[in-house]
Amino acid sequence: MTSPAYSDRRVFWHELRLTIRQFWLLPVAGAVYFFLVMNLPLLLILDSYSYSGYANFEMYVQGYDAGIQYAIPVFAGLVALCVFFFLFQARATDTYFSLGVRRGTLFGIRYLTGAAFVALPLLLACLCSLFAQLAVQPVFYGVFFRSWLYVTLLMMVGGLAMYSLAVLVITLCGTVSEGVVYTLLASILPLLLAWIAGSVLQSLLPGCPYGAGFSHLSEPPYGGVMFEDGIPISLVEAVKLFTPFSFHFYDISTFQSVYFENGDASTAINTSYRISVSSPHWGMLAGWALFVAAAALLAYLLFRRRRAEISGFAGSCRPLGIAAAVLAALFTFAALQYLPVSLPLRVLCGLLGAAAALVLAGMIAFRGVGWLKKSWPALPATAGGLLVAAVVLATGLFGYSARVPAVQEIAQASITYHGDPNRMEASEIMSGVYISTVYMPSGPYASAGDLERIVSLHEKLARLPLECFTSSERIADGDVAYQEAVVNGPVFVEYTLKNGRTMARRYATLPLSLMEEFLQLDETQAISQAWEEKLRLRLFGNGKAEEDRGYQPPEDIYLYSPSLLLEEAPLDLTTQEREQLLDCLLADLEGQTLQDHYFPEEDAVLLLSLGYYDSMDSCTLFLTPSFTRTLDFLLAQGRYTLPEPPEILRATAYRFVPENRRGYSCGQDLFLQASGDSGPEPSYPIYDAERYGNPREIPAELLDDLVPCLRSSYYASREVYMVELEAVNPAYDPNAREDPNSTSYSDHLATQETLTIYKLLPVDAIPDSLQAYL
Amino acid sequence: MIEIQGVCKAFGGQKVLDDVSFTVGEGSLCGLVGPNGEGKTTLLRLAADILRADSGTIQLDGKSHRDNPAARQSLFFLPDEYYRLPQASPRTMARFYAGFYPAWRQETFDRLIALFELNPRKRLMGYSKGMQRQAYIAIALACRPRYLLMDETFDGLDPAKRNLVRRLLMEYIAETGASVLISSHNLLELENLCDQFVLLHRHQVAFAGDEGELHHTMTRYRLVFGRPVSREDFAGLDCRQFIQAGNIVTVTIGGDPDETQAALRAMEPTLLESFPLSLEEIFLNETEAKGDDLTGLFG
Repeated sequence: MTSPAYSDRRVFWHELRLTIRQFWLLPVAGAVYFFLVMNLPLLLILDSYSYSGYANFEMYVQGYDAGIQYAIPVFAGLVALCVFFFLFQARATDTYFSLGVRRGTLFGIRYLTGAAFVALPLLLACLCSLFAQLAVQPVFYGVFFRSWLYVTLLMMVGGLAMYSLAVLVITLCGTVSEGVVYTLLASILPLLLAWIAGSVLQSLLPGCPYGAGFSHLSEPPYGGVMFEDGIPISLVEAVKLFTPFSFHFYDISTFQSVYFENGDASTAINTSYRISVSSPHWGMLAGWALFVAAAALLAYLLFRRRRAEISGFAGSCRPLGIAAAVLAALFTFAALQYLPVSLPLRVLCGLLGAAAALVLAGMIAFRGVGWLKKSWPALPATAGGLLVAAVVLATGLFGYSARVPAVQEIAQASITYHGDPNRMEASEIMSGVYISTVYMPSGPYASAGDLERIVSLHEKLARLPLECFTSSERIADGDVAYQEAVVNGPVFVEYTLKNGRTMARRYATLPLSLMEEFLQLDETQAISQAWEEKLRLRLFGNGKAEEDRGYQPPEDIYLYSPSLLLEEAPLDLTTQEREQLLDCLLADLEGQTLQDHYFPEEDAVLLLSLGYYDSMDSCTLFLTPSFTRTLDFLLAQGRYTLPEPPEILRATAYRFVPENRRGYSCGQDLFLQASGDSGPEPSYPIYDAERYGNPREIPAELLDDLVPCLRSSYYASREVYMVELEAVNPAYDPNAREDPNSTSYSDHLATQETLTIYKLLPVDAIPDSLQAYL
Repeated sequence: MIEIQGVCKAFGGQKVLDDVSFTVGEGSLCGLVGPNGEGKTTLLRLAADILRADSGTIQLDGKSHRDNPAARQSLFFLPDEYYRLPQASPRTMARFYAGFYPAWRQETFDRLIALFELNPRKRLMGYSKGMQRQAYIAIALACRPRYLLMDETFDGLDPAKRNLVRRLLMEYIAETGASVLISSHNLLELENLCDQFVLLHRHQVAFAGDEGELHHTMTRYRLVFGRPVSREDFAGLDCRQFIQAGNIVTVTIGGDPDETQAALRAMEPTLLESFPLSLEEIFLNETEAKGDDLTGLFG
């Protein structure tokens, strides 16, 4: 007769051996996979390390991130599914539960074996990386080992978190499909809920700065960080680090490689973007280790209490099924809030969709409609809850939308909006010219005058009726007058209050007439200063020595005909002359009215480019006659001779419709700037057919009437046409031949008989003779 | 000894067992009988600690078997449908179970496998249902449990193997003094095998006792009367079946046979004969739905 203790030990080891024997292929497959994606590519390139001038530590080759990061939770989930698969089979469950082994012991053996199966292949792959690096590194810095340790632990905790969560869910489920679906949902639940909340808030609550945008899971988490350019603060990004599936993605990418260059260590997300080595997030790691322990403990308790009769039966865990059905309803409601229809219709569609999704998901979860007998309250509760939430949000959440702080409360403010002409980042304009003319930061605005202006604009926004944010009337359909049209124009206002708190508001749409009022921000101190800094930087550089990091040299200065953009040599100006040019530009900008700057009554005379026009860093200005001093400086002193205007052969006018683009776009969307043919590439057609529609050919006999009315830049809060002109190329040489190997723009231009030029035609300036054609 | 006391179990609000109590003594083989869906398998799964009873207790030799590995290492549940490891042979499954049962005896297994003429290395998935059953019976008996729970064990066995299993069970009980609880629809198999019967009907114990007591619960009589009689004349008796052909009446009556015979004699029949009922007849009289109208079902 054997003692009970001996029997228990015997049974324990027997079950352990059985489990290992049954599933040993899993860790082997995992080890092979991680070796193939993590170690092998690294081993193949390690030779090159000895020739590089800097110490370089990598746990795997960049580019394999997704193959490793996604594989960790997937592998962990798979192991959990296999090791606890017997819970899905009634026969197996009956057998295991009837054997002489405590349920707790059975769980412990299975759980720990599975955990080892998850962790060991990852540890092995990480050790392999470490030893490979040790073999080739001439110097192995402490920071390398710290990164290795952190990433190794992160991978293992990441795998174990997913594994434990999967085990926890599996102990509640009756079938494999339930196990897979509910595990997946649970593992991304924070992301899903954040997406739902962000989408609903963004769509229904005017002024709400929170949204649901998301980037690749392994990209930096932007949680709590204001996006620039009016993109809402993403709730999805904010919960990335709290999501079991993906919390480790970003830090693995960041810390898996460390570079030592000139004595400085940096980590690299990719080879072109390095950031200084910061401390690993040990706290986060510890937090997730606690999650693993808590999930394991909960799974243990649930396993002990598990009802064997649910094995093999779907829908036996009512709370999970109901939760999944409600989640499906919420998701559908949120997704339908992106429909391009009016708010009441959107909410109605959302409610109907949510009800249908709830019933359908419930039918799938519980295999039929029988569940509704007991759980029917979930349907009215969900629909009612959503309706109440929609009403509360759409009516401004008890004054949340209408709240504008008093000027006295504000320490500083910043504001960005879709049509901001001062935020024209490097981006294409119609002719293909890259313009980064006047990219400037949007504040902070801190002076009392600036703040008053911002508060005044914000008040106008906050007073806009709800319909303004939900209107579906369109210029294109003839529903509404041009200036009253509501366009996608995210306006993002952020205040830092004197009490240290911040207040952010975002409005997704606004009428063009109000957007035009935002141009008044040009009259603030902040923008004036920003202009000066911007121009000074281009004209004089940033004052750093050439060998310093971040050195920016003074830019060359180019002048072009705004119509032709013919290649020119840079102007040779002394430092003193550059100072004079800066003074002229600043004085002209200061002296200009908004009308002069954005709605010029005459076409630009010159295109001034600080930096080669095709360069990303150039700063380009269309000089209209209102740039009096600057033009005097450049032309009157014989700096430049204007070329003869080209002969126009044909003209086609396109109506500009600003509302036809959904989503985010930069300032050039409204501050339209057009110029001549730009380079050796074929001329761009009207690059955005959606926004430039309804082409009308202008009769040749009316071209003389048309040309004086054209502009090179115009702010499209007022109605405007874009005109495509075909002009005789003054640089054409009949003897010139296209040389496919030549990169010279002049060589290319000489072969072109005609040029395509783009210009703008304000509706206010259309002569009577052309009215009939437009 | 397996003591089942006041056990109740419901699935999704539907009662499957209602206050079930009985005891399977040491060295006793108890037949668990009852119509489909009355909770026989559920009761066995409860006894094996697979399911948890809503109320009531199950004890093995006076100790609760609830999460009690020592008790369960002496208990073997042989289900109607067997669990097998992927690609497993009888030998593989024997190794599987041997580790969980300290009393495992390899020699017993080898002899039983030989007795059943099975190839221990052949994969179980290639076996017929009856052969698989024989393999698992061999495993169960080689585990030498003190408590053996068997669900529909005779299903799929040919007559020779059925007879062999009967003999094996009797021998096993005789040698080990084990308590065996066996459920079956094949009542003929249980007759003359079990020394104790539990009849489940309407989710409750309709009868629990030995075979003699079971036979005592119901008797068939043939009576010949010299005068016309009707069913009303038997109103005071627990009549389960009543067939009349003229003055000849065949009636199945529940209750104490002596008292019944005295009551029948008082009716002054010209002839009174009594016949013992088979187990199956008792089962049918106890449980069969009566008065089903099957006419026109297929026409």
